Amino acid sequence: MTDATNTPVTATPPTPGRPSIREAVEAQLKKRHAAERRFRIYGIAAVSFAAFMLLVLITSIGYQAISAFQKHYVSFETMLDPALIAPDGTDDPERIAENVGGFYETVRNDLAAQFPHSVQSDADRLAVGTLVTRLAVLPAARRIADDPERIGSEMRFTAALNDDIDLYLKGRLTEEKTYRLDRAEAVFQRGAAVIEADFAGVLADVKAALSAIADEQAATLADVEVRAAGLRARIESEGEGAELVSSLEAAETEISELEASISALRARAEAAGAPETLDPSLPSLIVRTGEHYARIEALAPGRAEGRVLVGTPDLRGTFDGGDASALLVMEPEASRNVSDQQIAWTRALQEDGRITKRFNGSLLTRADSTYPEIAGALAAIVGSLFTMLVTALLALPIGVAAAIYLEEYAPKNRLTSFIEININNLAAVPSIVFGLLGAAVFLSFFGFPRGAPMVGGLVLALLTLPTVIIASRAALQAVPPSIRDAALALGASRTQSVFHHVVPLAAPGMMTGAIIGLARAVGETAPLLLIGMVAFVAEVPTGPTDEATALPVLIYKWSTGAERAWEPLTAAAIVVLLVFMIAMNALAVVLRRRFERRW
Amino acid sequence: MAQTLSLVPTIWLAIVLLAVLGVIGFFVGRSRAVHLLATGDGTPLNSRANFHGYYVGMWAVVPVLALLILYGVFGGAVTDALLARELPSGFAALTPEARADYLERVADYTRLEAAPVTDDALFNAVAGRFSQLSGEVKLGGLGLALLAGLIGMGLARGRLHHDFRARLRVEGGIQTLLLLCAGVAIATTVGIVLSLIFEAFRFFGYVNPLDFLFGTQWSAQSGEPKYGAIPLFFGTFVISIIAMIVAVPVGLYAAIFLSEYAGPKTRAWAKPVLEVLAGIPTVVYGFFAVLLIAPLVRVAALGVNDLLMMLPFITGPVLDAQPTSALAAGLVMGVMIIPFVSSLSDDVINSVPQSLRDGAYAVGATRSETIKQVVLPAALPGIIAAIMLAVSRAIGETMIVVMAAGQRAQITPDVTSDITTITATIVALLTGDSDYGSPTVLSAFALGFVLFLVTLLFNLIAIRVVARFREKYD
Repeated sequence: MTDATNTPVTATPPTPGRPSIREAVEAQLKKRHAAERRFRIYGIAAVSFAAFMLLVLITSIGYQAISAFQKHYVSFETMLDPALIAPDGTDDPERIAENVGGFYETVRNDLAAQFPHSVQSDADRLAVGTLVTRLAVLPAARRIADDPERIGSEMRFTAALNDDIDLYLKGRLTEEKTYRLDRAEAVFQRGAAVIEADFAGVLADVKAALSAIADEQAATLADVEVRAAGLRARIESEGEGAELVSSLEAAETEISELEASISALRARAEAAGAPETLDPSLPSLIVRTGEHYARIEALAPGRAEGRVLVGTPDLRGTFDGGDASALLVMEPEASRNVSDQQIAWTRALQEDGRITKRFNGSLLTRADSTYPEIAGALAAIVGSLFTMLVTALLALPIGVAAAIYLEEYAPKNRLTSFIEININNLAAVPSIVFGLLGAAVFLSFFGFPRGAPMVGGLVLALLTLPTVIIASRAALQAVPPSIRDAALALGASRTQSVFHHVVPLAAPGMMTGAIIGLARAVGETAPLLLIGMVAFVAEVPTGPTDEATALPVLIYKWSTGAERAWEPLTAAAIVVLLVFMIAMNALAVVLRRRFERRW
Repeated sequence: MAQTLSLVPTIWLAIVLLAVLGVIGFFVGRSRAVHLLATGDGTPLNSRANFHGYYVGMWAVVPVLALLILYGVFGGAVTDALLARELPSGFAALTPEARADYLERVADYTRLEAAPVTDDALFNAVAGRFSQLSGEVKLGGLGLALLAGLIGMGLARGRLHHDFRARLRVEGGIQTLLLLCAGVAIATTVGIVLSLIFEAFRFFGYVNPLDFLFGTQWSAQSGEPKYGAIPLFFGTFVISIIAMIVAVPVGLYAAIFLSEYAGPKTRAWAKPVLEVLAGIPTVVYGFFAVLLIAPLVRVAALGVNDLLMMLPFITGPVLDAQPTSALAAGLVMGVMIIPFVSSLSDDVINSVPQSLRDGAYAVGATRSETIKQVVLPAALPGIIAAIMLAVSRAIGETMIVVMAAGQRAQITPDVTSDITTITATIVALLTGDSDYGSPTVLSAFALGFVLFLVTLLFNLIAIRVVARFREKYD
């Protein structure tokens, strides 16, 4: 039944110029649907952004970490001279292990024997020894210390390469280009090298490098010109002060020098095919012919001249079939940590098959050191474990007890709500404030030992306490009142009903909350920095009162290290920490899945 | 003997003493209860015999604990006082501070087990006497504790009679213990507040509070230290703003998407991703910022500089383009806070009743219109509270700024220059070489006090906002 008449619904005749209602509504609907789609896309974009950042973080750190877990080693098969290794004829393992100097001599002698022609003077011997740092022979020394019978016979051992060379071999130090020379004729005479081959491609790349240097200098020139203009403006407004005038003169000299240099470089770069001189401010070119390595000082399209780095000083020969190649090291020798000579030696050792890339577990088995080659995180891992032990022993019982009190016993009065507000606020206090509390109260007032895991554990326990209390309260609240009532109905006292019935049922929830709280505490750095766990600790702590450091603090310290070799180590230590935390979180999830009951 | 005793860590002796007395007390009480039962009139005791044991054990252990705590707090002072009485008259001329310093050196020296002998014969003699005295005081303290324990045990045993409500007493004791544990939380807050106030006021003895709060130059570790904290406040402010610009839109949109649009398959990977982001330690974020983000920011800033220099009226590099910058730290901090904002907003959005949404759909609103015009306004107080909590977290964050933001205290609108914050300055001050007690180190406490107050304020406001403006849904 309807009052509507049976007239067909026709739209009111459209007034010319005004859109019909239907069209207006459809237009509006299009806009609204478009807005809906955009909104949805923003949402997807937000979630994808978060996922993308996580991916970038993990891959960048993981990529660095992989580099730390692999190291290059040089293998040695050499005679252990008792005169060097155990000079006093002593059998004491400690003394033998300490005789790192003797081992290092052995290594150096071996390397010197491998390159008799490039190692002629004492300075050369020192130089070839830098391929391996002194302390890298320590593991081998320790092995001999356990087995002193082997002194006097041949032994095979490996030593880690110097970390700069290690980075170089991993391609992390400089860019390089390799060129295969199909046929090369080389003449070496008294150490001077003349090699004839097709160097056109190499020459072109060298020219390109010149051009790039000219571009860099042009950018510097622009900066200096701006500076000079500024100085001129100041002189105009402030008058010709002596300092300003001399600065301007210096800037103008720099400008003219740069301009000359730039035009010279560009001229050289544009003269395609013209011979080039390679000085240390340009990329280095090392040509290998057979077992010879020569650094090139003058390069022409068909001929290169230079000096022999590795190999006999006199030779005449033809090399082809892959036995000749050229290596262009883009970073000029002057700004590199690894010299051309070292590169030549390393490549020669590589050709000889004496360099291997192996998994390096020293990160986990050695304590910290000032040398990145042998630095490890063992002391920090043990320190973290002790700290976590103290934290767990303090935070878990006190937190669970407090939660039981607040949930089961506390009367609903102002004191209780004050305690509850307190706990919620403590959970949100920045962690550095707890560090300040530790420094003021535990170190200065109570006089606890500075930097001990005991104090660190104490501070972290206070930090974790609110989290444990809140999680335990939630677990206790989840237990239905019927359990308590049933126990009370059978005559149990309140304490008995709580401890015999409620707490066991809430225990899985309490445990997962506690483990998650502890996992968060493992990664805390700021409070530990403030209570002094930042010192360089080279010995593994034996108890909670020894001075120690913790893994996150070690990560911080290593990340501030100046040498580039610390970067992969920091990333590797981060991987160790994350594995630790993932294990704890996984444990919590497993416990939750297995034991949690849904009421 | 006293000398060796002073070297044994007190904690082991304390644990042994407590354990032994507790166990003895337990057996004493229990045997008394069994005896009472055997010699009684046959009616059972109020509680099982074990509870009588626990009762006596409790009263044996508590006095020991109290006296051990007294020893821990006052033992050092007592030893120092005893030693001071024996020192030669020359020491009376020293100021109390110098004397305390000397005693501290003696104490540190004796704490090392294999301490080498120094050249100073007087020092050696004093140190020897100190270790002897501290051993004697320890002996005395432990002896008193033992005595107190035995007295407690005896008195408690005497209290036992046939109708003694042992279980009730023991349960009362347990309840007191639980209350004390809950009190630890209060003690922590009190400790934080008191220590911060105490040290901050010591600092304000050296530096005028107004100079501190409103001064614009901070150079605490220079020759002429200045303690104006405005640059630090500014640095914290700038980095937090940048972090919020990243975190709030992304976190909110993520929360909305996950609660309104996403199907179970999307939620299955999106939620774990957010949880992992939340669980990553901040030092890892800091390293990531230094490794990747700060160089990128620098390269981008240099590129912007080059672009701007093409304009006619720009005569020099505009941006500072430092290797550590506020922008890098702020961006990474924003990523760190995204899960925080997202999970809090998620809870709030989910708690808006479905009936409101249904009503909006019923009159023809699209999903985004419902969210924008119905759900978000309803959830607004909770979302504002979530944002305030996130800001509070950003203000208190330490490691990211220490590693990625730089060390310079300056006020500049250029976000690509290095800048320091309150938290980074606190770390720098307390890990530096200054003596504890100098105004330089005390300024860290003043800064910490300000930080604590501000975060507390934000948290309280957040709670208040939620409580006052929350709509009551039936």
